[in-house]
Amino acid sequence: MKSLRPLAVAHDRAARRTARRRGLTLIEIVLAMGLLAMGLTAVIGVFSAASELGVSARRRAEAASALEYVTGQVTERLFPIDAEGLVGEPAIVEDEPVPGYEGLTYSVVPVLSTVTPPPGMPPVYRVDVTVRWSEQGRSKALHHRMLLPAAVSMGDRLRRQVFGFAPIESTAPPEDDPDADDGAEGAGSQSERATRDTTPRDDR
Amino acid sequence: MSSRRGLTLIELVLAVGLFAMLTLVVVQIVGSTMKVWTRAEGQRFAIGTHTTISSQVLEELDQLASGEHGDLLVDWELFDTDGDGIATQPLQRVRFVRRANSADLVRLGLREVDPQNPSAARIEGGELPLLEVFYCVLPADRGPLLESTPGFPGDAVLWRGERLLEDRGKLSCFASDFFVAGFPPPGSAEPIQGGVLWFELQCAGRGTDLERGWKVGPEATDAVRAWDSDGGRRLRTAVHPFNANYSAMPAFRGEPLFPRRLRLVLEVAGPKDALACPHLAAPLVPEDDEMVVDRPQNLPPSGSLVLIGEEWVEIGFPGRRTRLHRPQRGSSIGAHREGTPIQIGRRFEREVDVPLAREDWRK
Repeated sequence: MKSLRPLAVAHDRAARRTARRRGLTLIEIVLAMGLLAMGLTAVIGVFSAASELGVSARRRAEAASALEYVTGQVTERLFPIDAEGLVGEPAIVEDEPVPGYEGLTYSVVPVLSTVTPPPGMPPVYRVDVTVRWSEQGRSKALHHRMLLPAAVSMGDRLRRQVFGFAPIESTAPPEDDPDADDGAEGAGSQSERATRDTTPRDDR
Repeated sequence: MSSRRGLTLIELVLAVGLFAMLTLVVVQIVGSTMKVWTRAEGQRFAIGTHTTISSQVLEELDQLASGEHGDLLVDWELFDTDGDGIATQPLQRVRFVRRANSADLVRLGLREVDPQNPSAARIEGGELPLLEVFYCVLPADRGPLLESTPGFPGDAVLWRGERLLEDRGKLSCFASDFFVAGFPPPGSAEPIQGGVLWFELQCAGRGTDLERGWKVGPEATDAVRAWDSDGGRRLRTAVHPFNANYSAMPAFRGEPLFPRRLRLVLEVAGPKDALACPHLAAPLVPEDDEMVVDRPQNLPPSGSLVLIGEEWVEIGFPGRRTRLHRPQRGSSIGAHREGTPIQIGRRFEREVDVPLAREDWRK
């Protein structure tokens, strides 16, 4: 028996070696491939995010340019005038396309300012202009707020008369004035009264 | 003995195959990284450069001076930018008079700044003086302004010059002999930005209809590419049709006639853009209506304008053979050698109201 011991030890070693070299199971390979796929997905996701950031920067620059265009238009055309030359209620615009800018829309929300104008001056509106666009299904926006007197300049009056230019058309019902204490109807009539009292002014 | 048997052929082939696949993936990832990085860098450069230039130009135009000394002249000159000896590319220049600001006074040495008390700087003379300013786009490596930034054939540099209106020692940029063959006198201007592909100031007159965006044209309701606040007498349509006067321009009565709004259209190519831009893979002759390019994947989308030599063209559906609508932007149709770069700019637009635009509607 004693002489057979070295043979048994050699057999055990060979068995252990065989066990060590048996290769990978299917589950191990699938797990490894899954981990690799997850890693690659994460890496590709980073590239995709970086690429989106570049596109986003470009769209923001376009939106800034569009905002300048829209504010220019709003300044000239927000207020309508009637046949007697009196200034009417400002337009409210909701998500209309910005001409010349693909994929961009704009909104205009004027609200009568709480600031009392000096005697003889027209009331002032706080006008919120928003340019919106979509990125990867998410809505993005640039905002601009300005104060505009309820007046139409002589040049804009003549442009409407001579060239037939139209004021901006409302695409939404008038909003309630959040600063007014007497409800929506009161706010509307207050706004109308203030605007109607305005003498047409030429600011150029 | 068996533990030292080495790898079988199949194992070796599998290992080499796996290594090749991994290498391929890594190379593709590195390639994508470089592409994204280059594109992002180009965007960053473009937005930064365009914002800086447009802010500078529009802020100066925002301070236009009115009155008897007020002036604005926007016109076009033809240049040879590709070195073939024939000037066919129209480049714009803008001249105007504006009120100097405090930074101008310090730069021009008219404001004494006490280093001990900088806030107590005083102005010599009292009233803020008037400043003549001009911007012009000139070929990159030609003409008397040889210190300009070298660039591509067809590349151009934006220059800026100024002069105090009361400085009789310098020639006025409005003088008829100031620009010689389109170039200002040496030393009268400094380079602002190289790689300028397009610089255009569009002007909206009293009747320009902007409701559907900016449209340049000959009608009273269109915007124009040239403007003369003197009524249009200084615009030379013989040089280029872009110099046409606004059709509803009122009569000049001593006060400068300004447009009511201005829009700056700018296209600048970045230093990295030169590495990625496609080239003509075959000569382009005037009769061709399609071009063959070497890197069609780098062409911009259909409808974009690209610059080949001195000629602007609109591209159709981009591909190795791309259909063209030529010429565009007032350039002339021409022949282009194989290997000519196709320059692609990123369009950028800004606009500003002209606060001193007094509208004269008298006949």
